[in-house]
Amino acid sequence: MAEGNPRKILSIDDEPDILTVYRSALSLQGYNIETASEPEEGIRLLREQGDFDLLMLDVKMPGKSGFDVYSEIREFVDVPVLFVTAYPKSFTLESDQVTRMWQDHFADGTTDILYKPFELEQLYEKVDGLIGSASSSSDES
Amino acid sequence: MTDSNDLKLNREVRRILVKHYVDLGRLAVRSQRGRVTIFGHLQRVMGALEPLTPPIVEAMFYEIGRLRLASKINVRLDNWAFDGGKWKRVEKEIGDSPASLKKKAALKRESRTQLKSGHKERTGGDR
Repeated sequence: MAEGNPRKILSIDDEPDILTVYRSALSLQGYNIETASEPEEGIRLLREQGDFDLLMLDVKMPGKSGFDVYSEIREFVDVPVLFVTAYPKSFTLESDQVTRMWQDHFADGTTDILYKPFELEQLYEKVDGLIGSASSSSDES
Repeated sequence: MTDSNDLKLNREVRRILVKHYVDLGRLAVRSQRGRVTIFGHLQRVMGALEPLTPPIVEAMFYEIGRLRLASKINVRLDNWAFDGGKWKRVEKEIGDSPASLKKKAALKRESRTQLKSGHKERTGGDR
């Protein structure tokens, strides 16, 4: 990322209301945020733009789950991911898919989880912990 | 503002937590100039074969405290306390009396102080 440009976030979530909250809250912090309400649309944006500093990913979406998206995008882009979900039980090691993700990708330390409902402060904390503030100049992500 | 080293440190801390199958969604990790703060609820993700034990928790925080970029570690957990040099689970149980809740709160306050000095001894404090 070029120094001085705000950090760029893509959020994929099928709930329009929550996307509105993200746009408003994260823009206020100075981040450049784009949203997609369908998994395929989000994957397309990632493929076409490819310069996102963070991907925020809902877990339960119609058609393709956040876990499916996560596994798919890892094939072509290396970007920190913040899972945001109202279903903590989704992250169970009884699922082969979760176990594989945990061991293959979570283990590199660039993925985090935020459970809904959350306070905005918790959202900022997680985003800042993964990519820094909106205007951070760093080579970390 | 989080600088590059602090982001790297956050990443290293998450790596260690993931290695121990800790549920990241219940914790917050923050680093500022090498000072790591971890707070929230410490437990493993669902489906992990064994729950966290005091020796595992001790080893995990020791490993975090030993990270090259970490100068200090501050841990504030609502279900574990550092008491008498050891980690203890202090989960609230159904039916806790007001007196026992008060005792647990005091134990937590005490543990924060002890943890701070305890880790400083083990990690050499600010480097």
